[in-house]
Amino acid sequence: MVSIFLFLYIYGHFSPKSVNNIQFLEDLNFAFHIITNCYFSSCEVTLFNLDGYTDNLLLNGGFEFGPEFLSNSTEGVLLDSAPTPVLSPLRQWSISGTVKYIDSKHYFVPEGNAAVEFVSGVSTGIQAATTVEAGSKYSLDFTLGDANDSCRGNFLVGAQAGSTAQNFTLQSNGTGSAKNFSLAFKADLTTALIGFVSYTTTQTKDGVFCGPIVDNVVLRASQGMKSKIKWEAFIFLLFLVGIL
Amino acid sequence: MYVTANQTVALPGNGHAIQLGEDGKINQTINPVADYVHYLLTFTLAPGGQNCSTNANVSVSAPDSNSILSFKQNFGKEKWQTYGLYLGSWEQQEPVNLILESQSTESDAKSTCWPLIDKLLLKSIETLVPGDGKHFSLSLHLWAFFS
Repeated sequence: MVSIFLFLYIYGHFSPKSVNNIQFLEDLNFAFHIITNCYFSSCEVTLFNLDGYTDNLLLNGGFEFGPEFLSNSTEGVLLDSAPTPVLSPLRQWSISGTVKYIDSKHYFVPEGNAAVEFVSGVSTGIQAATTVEAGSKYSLDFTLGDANDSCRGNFLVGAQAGSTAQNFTLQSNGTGSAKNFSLAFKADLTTALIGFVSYTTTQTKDGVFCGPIVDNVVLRASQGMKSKIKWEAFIFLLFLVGIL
Repeated sequence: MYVTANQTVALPGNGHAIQLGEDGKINQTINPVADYVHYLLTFTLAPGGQNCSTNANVSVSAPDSNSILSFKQNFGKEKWQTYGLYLGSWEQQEPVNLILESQSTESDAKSTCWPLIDKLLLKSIETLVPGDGKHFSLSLHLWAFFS
């Protein structure tokens, strides 16, 4: 007869804030994605939420972290070029040219409360860097569109991910649109540059400079453990939490 | 100079603003709320007139940062524009000085339009770390004893 004593020691840490048990259980309910790394008798489990942004390797990929909006302004916030992501008002992204930081209250924003519009024409863009594993495959998903600010025209946007680059075209009638795109790449270095640049200059019929919007930039590892859903482990974990 | 919106001066919400004349300067001291916090400034800039050969720029400085902004024509429907800036990240102990001052490149001050400043908003933002917000990791240590 084998008797098993389970001694559980669970600690969850939601960086940067700690969390209480109720939140923990709520989050567990939404979890669908579990990674387990077991060595000897100790397992490390990483949970991800259902909304899909959780395994994003980019910081501020949805552009939710940036300067405050004027609550009653329909004009957005202009951001001048910022050579490094560290000293940029658009947190974690460097800026070339001038971009307009737009809010969902006054503009069409594909996801969340904010997005970025490339307003200063050709070579306006943003760039971020992230740590990756050389030799691994990744996929970059993002949304391009127009902000519903009467910006009509054909947009041509270049997307860069590591050493892979591809151009994407978008036809805008200026009434708010969003289209999802994807770019697969293999990392050849331990740092991957992720960038978007506009190859077109557009003005509204009133002469206001405008352009494509980018939002919801998600970088994911496309192979390896992170893509496997281990349901057995998930059910087992729920069972353990039930005991507690 | 304290300015009120009128037929020639457009301001957000048609309120009041400050015009920074020649060598005009405003400053405010900020006490950082915590370490590892970054400060972002939003403010509105409007040209202080219409018949001038040049619009003076605005210099925004804080410890470790200095930005010079010029009014950008045709980047919006209004005669004013709102700008966002990264100011810096400072330790909690030191009060920091935020300075906005006018900067003219032209020697003839009379033909220069001096900038109007309005709606200054300061936002603090924590350093983003991987997994911010929606992702957490949980470590589970499991020991099994067989007897």
